[in-house]
Amino acid sequence: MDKVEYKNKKVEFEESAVPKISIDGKPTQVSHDAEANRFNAGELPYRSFKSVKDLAEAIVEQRLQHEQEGET
Amino acid sequence: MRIRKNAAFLTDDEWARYCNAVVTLKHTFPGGSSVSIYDQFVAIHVCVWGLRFSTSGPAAGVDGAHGEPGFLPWHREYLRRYEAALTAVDPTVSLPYWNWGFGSDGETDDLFQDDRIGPRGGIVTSGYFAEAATAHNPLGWTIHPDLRRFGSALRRTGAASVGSLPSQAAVIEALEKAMFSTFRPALEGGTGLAPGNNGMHNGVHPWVGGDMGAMSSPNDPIFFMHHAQIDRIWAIWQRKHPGVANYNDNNISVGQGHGPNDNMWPWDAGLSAPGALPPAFPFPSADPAVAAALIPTEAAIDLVTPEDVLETEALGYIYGD
Repeated sequence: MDKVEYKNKKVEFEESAVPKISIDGKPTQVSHDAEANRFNAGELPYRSFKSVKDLAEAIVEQRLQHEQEGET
Repeated sequence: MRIRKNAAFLTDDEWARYCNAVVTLKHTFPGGSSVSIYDQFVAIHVCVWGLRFSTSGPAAGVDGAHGEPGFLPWHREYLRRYEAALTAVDPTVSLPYWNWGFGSDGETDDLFQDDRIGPRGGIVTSGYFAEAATAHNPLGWTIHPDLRRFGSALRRTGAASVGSLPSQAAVIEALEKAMFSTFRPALEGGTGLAPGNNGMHNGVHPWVGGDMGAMSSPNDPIFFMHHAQIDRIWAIWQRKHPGVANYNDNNISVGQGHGPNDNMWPWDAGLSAPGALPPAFPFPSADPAVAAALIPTEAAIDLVTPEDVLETEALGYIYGD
């Protein structure tokens, strides 16, 4: 697992066809579209990404956005 | 043979019949159920995504309808069943398609009128799909409490990140893809296309926005017209590429439900079941485990594979131009 810090979140990810992402120590559900060679996550409907790292950062961005907006 | 028409060319009477049939499904409760026929369709879409969160069964961890080859056949079968429910209400009705990509901006603007699919740009407060009673729909349109992304009223708050619909050039470029394995990702998410594709299918969801941006997106009736266009583009692609294996051409390893002869949930004899949202899920969303309780158990003989739905004619419909 590669480790980076992104916007004060500890992000761990594995760039492979069996992708893994963990944010602040908690894993999140991700998958690989083998035909498209792109990655997606259960919490980002209707989006896909070229790399697991890009996906992980997008998840962090979305979580921060929701925290800020307090969306209901 | 049923003909699915371009929504831009429906007559006023056809629009009224179509919208009234949709509203009827929303307010028709099958015997013994507290969930309407329409809301059962919404629940199914939430749950097929919710297979991602399952930890048991062959489809555990796999979205049964998105991000893999089964995206196209799963939605084809889903729409076929929805259209069958509509025609049970009114046999003159067929599912219209929203001709984004080919149609003009004016044609799209015309769809979002009170006497058609209703306005966009915020909470829908007029037309057939407003929460409060209207002249078009005295019964109102309320999103089921267990299937909500936001509140009880339908929202179409288009995301600023998707400024325009996919271009005609992008759709044509997708249709030129020579193999299913490159065509499907292009149509679903714009993969491999030049700028202007705006995410194709994936981008149209946030373009409408609001409820269309979540996996409970069938809460918005525009969902079905959007997916009719997706299905139509697939049908056009199939005609343009005769002789090409039109599913799983590269024999790639895919998740359960996406193989050509896999039974697709929920038409899988109960092999798999959706899981619950993780406790730390970061934003409000319909919980597949809760939604699963809203849909009837499919009969053990009600089995459907991608190979079963490759030809629209065999399913009893074609698309009109």
